[in-house]
Amino acid sequence: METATNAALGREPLPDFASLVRSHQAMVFSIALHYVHDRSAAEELAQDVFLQLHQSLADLQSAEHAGRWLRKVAVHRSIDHARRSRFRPQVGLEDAPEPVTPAAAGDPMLSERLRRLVASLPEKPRSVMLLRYQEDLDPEEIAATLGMPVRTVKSHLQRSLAILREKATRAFTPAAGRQNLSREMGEVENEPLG
Amino acid sequence: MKYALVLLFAIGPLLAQDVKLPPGIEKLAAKASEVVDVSLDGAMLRLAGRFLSSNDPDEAKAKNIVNGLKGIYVKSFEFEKEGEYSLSDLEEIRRQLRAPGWSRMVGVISKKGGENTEIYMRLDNDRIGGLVILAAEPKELTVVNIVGNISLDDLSSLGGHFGIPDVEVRKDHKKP
Amino acid sequence: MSRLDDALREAFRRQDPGPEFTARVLAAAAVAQPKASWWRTFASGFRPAKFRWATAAALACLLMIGGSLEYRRQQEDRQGRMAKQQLVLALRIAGAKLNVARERVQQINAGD
Repeated sequence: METATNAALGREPLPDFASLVRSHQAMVFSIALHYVHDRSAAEELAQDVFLQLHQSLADLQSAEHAGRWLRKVAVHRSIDHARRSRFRPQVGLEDAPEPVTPAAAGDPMLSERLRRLVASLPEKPRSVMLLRYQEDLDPEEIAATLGMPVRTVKSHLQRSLAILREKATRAFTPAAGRQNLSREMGEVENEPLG
Repeated sequence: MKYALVLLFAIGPLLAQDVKLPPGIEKLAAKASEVVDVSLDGAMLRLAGRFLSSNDPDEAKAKNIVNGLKGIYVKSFEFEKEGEYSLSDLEEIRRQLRAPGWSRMVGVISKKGGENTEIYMRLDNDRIGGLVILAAEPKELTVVNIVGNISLDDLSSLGGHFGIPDVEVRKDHKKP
Repeated sequence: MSRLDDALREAFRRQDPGPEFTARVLAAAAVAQPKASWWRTFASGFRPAKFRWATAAALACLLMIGGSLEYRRQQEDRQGRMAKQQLVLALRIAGAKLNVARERVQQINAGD
């Protein structure tokens, strides 16, 4: 197809469909999972994205193009799906309770907490955070994927990180957490469910 | 203050009386900017249950909850502005929940957030045979109807799963 | 804060859905192919000297039946998954509303 052009530009030619699926299924599935919070629904959504890819192969020019296409479609389909079945968490990020137990980085509990905190963000900042920390995209790439100005992306990143930093600070300061831990745990234990 | 209504219905399996949505509530769909409408009878619940994995903690919990249920019905309306529905519609539902067999367990009002939440239960032989939750917010109305045997602890323990924030309240928790 | 960055990258590490997912996608893509393409694939092996009408008809029927059965299975799967999504949504709504009430009750009790 565009072999000469791809070679000249140093781009990898477009692989076959099966290779594209194997190469990108983790990315597409993980994007979907962070929006729908359900593995089966995420698999369903990811499958739909790949079926759409299958129908659109003729429009793609290179391996990189396919990757960008998949990421963009996965994000937008996930957003659409989340909107259709939207149920906003009752607790906004600003109101989310701070963790009562300090945790070391790499702690799966901390990871889960961070995912939930990000999940409670509004749609656009949540998408920005996902693309930044799952896909490791820079602000310009995030802006191109989501169709928003770069300065908006940066603003979302800064604000979301500031809020997360405030909520997660105790998880990164074990000494401070330990000072408060026994009191906090005692307070929680003294509040039986009504 | 106008309230968004969240109605949750739970209907006991043994007593025949159903809690019905007043016509005024059904018509709210036309005014809502977002509508969630879930209607799962016993057959659909069993079908859904087949796709819940026991290996996934969230899904295993849901599977456990669903086992004793005969139906789950949810209607949630989100409005662009306040005042899109009438409190008198809510009163019609409350009237039905004053029938024998139903008990009002919880009624909380949050003046700050403008949210009223009421929880009604129907007891069958000392077990919860049905659950109705009425939640009213200025711009949101939700009705949930859970039919069958359910544990409130199991249902509320879904906090921390399926993307529901797990609410842990501390005595000194204050909004910044 | 690099520690927060590290923790976020860890939290959002990609998860692979596994080889079963790959197989399902490829199977679905094969079923979703336009009929002309599989017919073209079938016809590309046509050699008049070895062609048997009965065999060709039987093969075509088997392909159509197989495709139809696969499609039906996928439809049932789809319905089941949709029912499951609806169920999860309903439980999330119910659970979250209960939690709101629980939180309020705890706050009220804490204030006593």
